[in-house]
Amino acid sequence: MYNISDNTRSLAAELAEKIISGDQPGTWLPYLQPADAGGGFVTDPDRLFAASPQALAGKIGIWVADTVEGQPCYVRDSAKVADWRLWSNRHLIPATDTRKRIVLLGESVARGYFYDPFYCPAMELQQQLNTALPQAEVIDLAKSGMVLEELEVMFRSCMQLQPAAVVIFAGNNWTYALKEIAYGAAHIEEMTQALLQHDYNAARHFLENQLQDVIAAFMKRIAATAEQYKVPIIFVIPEFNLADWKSTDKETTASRLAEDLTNRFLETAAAARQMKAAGNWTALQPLAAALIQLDGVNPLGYELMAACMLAGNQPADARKYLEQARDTVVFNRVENHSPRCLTVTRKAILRAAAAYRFTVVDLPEVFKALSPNGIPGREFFLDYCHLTDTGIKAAMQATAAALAPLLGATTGVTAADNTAAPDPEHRALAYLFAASLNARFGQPEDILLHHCRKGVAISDAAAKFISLYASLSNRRLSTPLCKSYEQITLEKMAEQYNKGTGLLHGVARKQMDHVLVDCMVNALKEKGMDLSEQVSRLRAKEHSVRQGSVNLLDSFYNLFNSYVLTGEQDTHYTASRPQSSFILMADNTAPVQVKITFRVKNKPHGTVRLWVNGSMVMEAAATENWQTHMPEVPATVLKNGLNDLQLEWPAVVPAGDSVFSETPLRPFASMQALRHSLRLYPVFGEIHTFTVSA
Amino acid sequence: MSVNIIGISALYHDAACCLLSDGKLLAAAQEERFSRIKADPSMPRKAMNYCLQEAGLTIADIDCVAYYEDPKEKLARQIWSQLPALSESFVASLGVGRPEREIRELLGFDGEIKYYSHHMSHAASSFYFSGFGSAAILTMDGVGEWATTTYGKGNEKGIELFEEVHYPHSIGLLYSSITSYLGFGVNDGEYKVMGLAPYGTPRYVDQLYKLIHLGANGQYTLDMRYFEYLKGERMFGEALEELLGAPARREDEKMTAFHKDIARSLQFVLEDIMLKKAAYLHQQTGESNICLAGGVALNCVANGRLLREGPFEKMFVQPASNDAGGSLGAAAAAHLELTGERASRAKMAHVYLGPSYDTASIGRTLQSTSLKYHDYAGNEEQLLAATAERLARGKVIGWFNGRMEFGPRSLGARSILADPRRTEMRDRINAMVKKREGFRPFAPAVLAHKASQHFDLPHDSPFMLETCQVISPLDLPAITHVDNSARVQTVHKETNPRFAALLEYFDELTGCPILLNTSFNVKGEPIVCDPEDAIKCFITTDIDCLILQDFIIDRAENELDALIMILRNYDQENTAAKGIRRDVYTFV
Repeated sequence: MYNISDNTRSLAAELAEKIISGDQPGTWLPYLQPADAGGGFVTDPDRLFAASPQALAGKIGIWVADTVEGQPCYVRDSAKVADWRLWSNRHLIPATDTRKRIVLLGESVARGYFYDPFYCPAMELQQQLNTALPQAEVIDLAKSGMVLEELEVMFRSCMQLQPAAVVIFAGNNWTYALKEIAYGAAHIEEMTQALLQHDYNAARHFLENQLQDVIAAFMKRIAATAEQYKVPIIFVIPEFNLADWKSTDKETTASRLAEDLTNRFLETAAAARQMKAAGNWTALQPLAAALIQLDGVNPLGYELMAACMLAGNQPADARKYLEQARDTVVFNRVENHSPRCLTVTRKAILRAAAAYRFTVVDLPEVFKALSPNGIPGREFFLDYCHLTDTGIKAAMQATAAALAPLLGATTGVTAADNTAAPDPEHRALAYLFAASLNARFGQPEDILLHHCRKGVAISDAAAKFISLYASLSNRRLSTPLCKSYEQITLEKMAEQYNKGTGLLHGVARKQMDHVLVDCMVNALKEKGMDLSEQVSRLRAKEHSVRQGSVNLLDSFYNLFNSYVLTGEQDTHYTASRPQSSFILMADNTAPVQVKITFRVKNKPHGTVRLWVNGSMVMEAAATENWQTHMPEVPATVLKNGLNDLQLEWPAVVPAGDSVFSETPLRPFASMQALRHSLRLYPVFGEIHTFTVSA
Repeated sequence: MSVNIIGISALYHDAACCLLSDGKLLAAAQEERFSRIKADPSMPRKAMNYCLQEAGLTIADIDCVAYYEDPKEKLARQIWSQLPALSESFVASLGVGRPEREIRELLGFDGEIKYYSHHMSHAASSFYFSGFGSAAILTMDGVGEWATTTYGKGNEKGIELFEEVHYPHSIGLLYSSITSYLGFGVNDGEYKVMGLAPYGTPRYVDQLYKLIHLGANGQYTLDMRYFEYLKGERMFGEALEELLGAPARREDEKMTAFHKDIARSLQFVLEDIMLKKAAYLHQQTGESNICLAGGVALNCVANGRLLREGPFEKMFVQPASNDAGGSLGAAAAAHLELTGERASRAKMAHVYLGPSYDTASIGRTLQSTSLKYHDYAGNEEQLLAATAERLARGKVIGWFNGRMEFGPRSLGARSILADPRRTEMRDRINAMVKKREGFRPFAPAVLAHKASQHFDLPHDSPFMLETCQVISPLDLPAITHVDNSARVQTVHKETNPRFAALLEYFDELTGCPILLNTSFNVKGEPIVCDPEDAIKCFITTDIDCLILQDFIIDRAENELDALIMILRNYDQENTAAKGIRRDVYTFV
């Protein structure tokens, strides 16, 4: 093998030639090892969870076995200090206790994200059990971002604490398990067949079945461990913010559909949005139905249909559509969608609970009963799934009520037990952090303003935070180095929200968050404090074109970049929608010079137009090759402050530009890789250079 | 009408991009500097955007992209390495057609793509930038397509590579295997082995010569019983441990005399082979000049010996001899092919080809921080005097100045500087600043016109690519290696006027025209690129003062504890699972 014989080398060259020239695998697969030709990938979900009992001994999450003052215990592992912020800040857990121990496992919703470490579900549960189980101790082992695999490891390892019961409050992050599975040739073939039906729904059902299998296997193993240790389990099924969490622009972007259906989707969506804006629900309903028919994995149609149902005072039907909109993410069209508990997840938990006799607290039912129209919203949620203190209280009341009899309590939860609450400062900050997260996920202005107003109304601490936040958002400097972020840290305003790391942006992905900052400023103005001048000055100093050439493709100015769809940062901007939006900080004292290099692939027809504040400043015939234009924007078109730039592309997708015409046949290392290769979105145009100079 | 060529090396390690406009090298940068992923192999998206911006061009202005490897030949070698156990999953993992696909889709280039073999790119990166009318060419590295070593000749007509040594036989992989045996990372620790070698004695030359058999002409073969890199799990096998009589060193294990002796023996074998093969090359070509490139050419100790003891009168080593430099070679080869003319007849004078940052933007950056700083904008003399004074007081300086260097060496644009006369400097900078192994030497930067008073170096050495003996009347413990050698950079006011001026100021103040010069980074991180990187590195290390172009920031005047904690959290958020494997070459 080590000698390069002419034979092996020529065989290698021959295979390379076949593979690189794009020959179908059939021509070179015969050269493969028969044992591996069927796919050497991980196909068994059990293999995802291969933590051995030996590996778990002496470890429980970030805690490791130790002895303190002669007593065996678990203390936080200093080697894992980087992860401490994701867990409860309890440093030491005795190995044993005379009290009944209730372990709470779960994800960020169980951590009390936004309030933690000052208030969280474990604290609330402890309080709620005061009367019913005064000798019980709730041990908080929930972790922000916990995924299914970790949850199982934690479930096994927490047995070392000899719990009387385990509460599992999780389900939002379980769709990510699908990303971990690599698929072999058989699965790819199944997926391919699903796609060849020219319908994403078939592929979606394939993935739902996969998720169901993964959860079922997980539940089976959990049940076996619970049986081994004779520990009862209570599953708390999370609910989604059905009323107020909206699918983002990226999530409602049209997919590449079969034949000419993408164009029909675009036309229908445009008409539907017009009808919605006009409040014409009668005309909207068939359009929404058509959108669902055209693309069942796009949430737009379902959400519009829900709006029609609500307008028609049919909340039960509206709820069904909102649930369907929520569930579309299983197809995972968008990279890093917001976490959520899907119908398939809930059903899988309920099914397993029935089979293995787990107790279930079904929060969808709990919140439905507490919501006037049966659709929970901002009263209970700070974002897609994380709860307000009201929501936490409601969820833990239901949990305590289910738990108490399970552990032999003879009395129930009483009103006197309902006293836990975050203090006003931390509560106010929770709302402002929530506003920040809502803004990152492109939520509408009204919900941002709602959270800002709540924060400002609750505590004066909000004003100080807003002042600092407005400063750090408008700096070009990355957030961790900003003086204002340092002040937030030093003034202990970054203890919540994962120790303030939720406020940070990824490297080179900082945004101005101008809509959010404006909402914060407006909320403060209503209380008599006006920061608008200060914010405008800082924006001009940091971002104005008068300070130097501005690259509009930078994350500050590019309001919808391809990264949010694909997770890839290309050298150039890819427009997945017929319009591309940018902002420019300028003034009306002098004209500015634009330099733009763009192209429109796939036999383009029509024109490309650039609009500044509603005035057209460039019009050019679309071409397949890159073309550069340098239009001047007159001072009369510009305004002081943020200017709106819209690039309008030819809105028609070329016939035949369909994902289904290029269904992959070759093997992929993962479903994620396959999804990337599909290029799910049409490309209306691309920009390579987009600068503005004074 | 200009001819604009983008050169690219990528998808293995050290991805880079350069822009050649009418044969003039306008910009070049490694992707790692922007992505902050050490040795980032990914298609150089950010580096290309930088190159276009620097040149004032757009993608529409580019005539050709030149890629530094032949994908089909490489694929054949990758497939061969797995035969007869070629699997579907392996083929899937290869990313067949990836270079073209990514150039089209990620870089957005829709014009002509030209491919040049890995070693042709290395050869061209050296010869076409050497200033020689004709020269012999020797390239050596781990592996490209099939070739691991090539012998060639360059002249007005172009480059001819007339002999190759083929994978798996590779002097580069031999060196990397022993590097791995000594507990250092592959493609990262070779430089450490070279630095360790002078501490040892060449007791194991005979054993190491059992690993390699020198064949006729330029050929050699490795005895593959001792190596396992074909299997992809580790570089060497148990047979090597038996041969050397000791198990491999773990990364955290103490360094013993045995390890130093192995390093010295390896260095001896490398130099011996290079001298023998250079003699063959000289005999074949009759040239008096030699051009070197490929990762092995970064072994400046071997280079120095080759020039001193070998048959060639003049030598040029491509300063970016690693794979990053392949981008330059591919671009220069494409230029010749497209225009019929050589890209440049002049010798590459400097490597300041990366981004620079204007004083106003740096000022805005500093104003956004809580840092206290001194502003010397428009007052260079005071800035340099203040910097020299701090150096003379024993301060360790982070020096951020002008355009960033291209290639692996810091040469006075993104450097850490210190007084070379201070005994404690080496240990302090290794431990507290660079956070790396204590035995590693530091290099001197010296005013070019005073170099011969302090170093046995009869010619310029602007790229720190050869070693020589220290002959200085000054005591220079921080830059003098245990064997009295130093890896010298001669500094020229024509190519880096501010750095040269700083040396003048320091000389005037202390009588020493030399500074300790090491790269501005910490272990495991790329060299800093922009002001933010420099500030972060300053905050999280023990650097005393940061000279950020026209601004000076003193650690003693700043309370940095909160920022250190914040940056630690931020890094944990952003740097998990980055980088490439260190224990073996990833040949696929």
